[in-house]
Amino acid sequence: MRILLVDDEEAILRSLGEVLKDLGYEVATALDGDEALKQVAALPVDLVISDVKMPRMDGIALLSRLQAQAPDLPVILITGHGDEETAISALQEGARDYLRKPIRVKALLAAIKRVQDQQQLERLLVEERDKLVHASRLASLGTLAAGLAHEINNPATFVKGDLQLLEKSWTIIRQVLEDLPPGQVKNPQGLAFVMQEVPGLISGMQQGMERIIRLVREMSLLSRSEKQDTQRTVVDLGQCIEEALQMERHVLPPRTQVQKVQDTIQLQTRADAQQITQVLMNLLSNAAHALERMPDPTIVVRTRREADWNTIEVEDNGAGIPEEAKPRIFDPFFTTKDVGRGTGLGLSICRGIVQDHGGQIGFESHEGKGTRFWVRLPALA
Amino acid sequence: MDGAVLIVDDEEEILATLRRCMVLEGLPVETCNDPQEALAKMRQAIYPVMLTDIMMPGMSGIDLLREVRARQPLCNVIMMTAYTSMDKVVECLSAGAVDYLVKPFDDLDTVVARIREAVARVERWRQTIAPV
Repeated sequence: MRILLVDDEEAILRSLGEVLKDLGYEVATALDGDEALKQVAALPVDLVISDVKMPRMDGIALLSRLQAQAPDLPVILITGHGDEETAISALQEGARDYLRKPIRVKALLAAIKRVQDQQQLERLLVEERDKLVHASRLASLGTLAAGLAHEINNPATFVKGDLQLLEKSWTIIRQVLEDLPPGQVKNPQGLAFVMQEVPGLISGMQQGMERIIRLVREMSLLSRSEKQDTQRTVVDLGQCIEEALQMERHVLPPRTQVQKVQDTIQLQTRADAQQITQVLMNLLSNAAHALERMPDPTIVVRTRREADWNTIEVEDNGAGIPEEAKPRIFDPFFTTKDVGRGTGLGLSICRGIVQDHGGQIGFESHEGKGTRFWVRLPALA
Repeated sequence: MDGAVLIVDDEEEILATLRRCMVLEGLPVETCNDPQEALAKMRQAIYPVMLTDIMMPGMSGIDLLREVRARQPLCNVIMMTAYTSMDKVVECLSAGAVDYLVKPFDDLDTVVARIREAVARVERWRQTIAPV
């Protein structure tokens, strides 16, 4: 903590300064208000202790200027013997505290400590407020996602439907065009181009629509609904793993080895089986992506019971997660995949699902070595 | 029109897509924007199949379903639902809907197949109840 001492008497600056330096504080000094203001502008100062009685600019005036220049900077004023009025108006003006001359070291230290404690509290408050803002942003993101998903669904439906109708219509048109005697065609090159390109145009649009629809579906899962509770049953986690492996088999790089290390106890939990399987599919899909072009791709899926928890781990010996990506890995829309390959929603949805079930999700990863994701779910009593 | 498929949805474009689809397949079709209009039509003609959205402003698809079950019990009602209102589907099936389709439709051919199934089912019922 750096304390700025302001007093027109050098002797006081020196003696107070020595005391504070001995106690471990950093000390800056100023002989008058102007110098004090310059110091505050130049250095990071955490606390100003200033005499009130100074020529030209007194302590109260300095306080005023400081409040304009650095409103969060706490100021303790030192008032003269018998200067009660000044002391009270100092507090009214916004001084954090006052000390009376002659200054007793204990009183000085107590005053400084009070300021430190208050600053600590303020920091905690700001932290908590930021957390709340972040949480409420996520919540409104969820609501936005749900609303958006709902709105996009209808145009997505008719565009997809119309594309299928277009495809069927093209079949009819193509037949007519093919049956045209060549002499009747004024622009044979144009026609040849159209005959060649149209099917690709239509299928391209259909694929684009599928991606949009998949995104919309993922977005609507991002917003949690309390109604999910009604689909919860007693679920055998081993079965979820089997299903997830089945569904993701085709995206694993060739020659990937999959090892399963399973607890002998059947692991059961109360959950929405489809959601848990979805989480596992997502983790396997991420592992598959990390193993692309790796020489000896291996995925290990472990399950075990740890006290009141069922733990599932999905580990790969792939590229690992880069350091700078680690803090953002669960953020919605954050992805390390190339454009068009991943929506970036997977892990944020996984975390949402796991948290909804009262569980935890986390990971450990080393670049060049591999990544291990773990999911803990409350075990059935 | 007797014997037509009646499609009810508050989204005009979806009605248009489905209408074109029915025409391509040679199935007689009528469409309307809201349930009240649908009920008015049902007073004038017999519809073997009705396709209706679940979520609509005003009268919902479920309420429409219940009205139709009361007035034309032989009408096969198929519900259309978005992914987000899947939870209402069970309620509809209990209330007498014969089938449901999720929007966006995976494949219009499936939609057509389900409608044809429903038309055939109604024919079978008619044969059983009032053989000519």
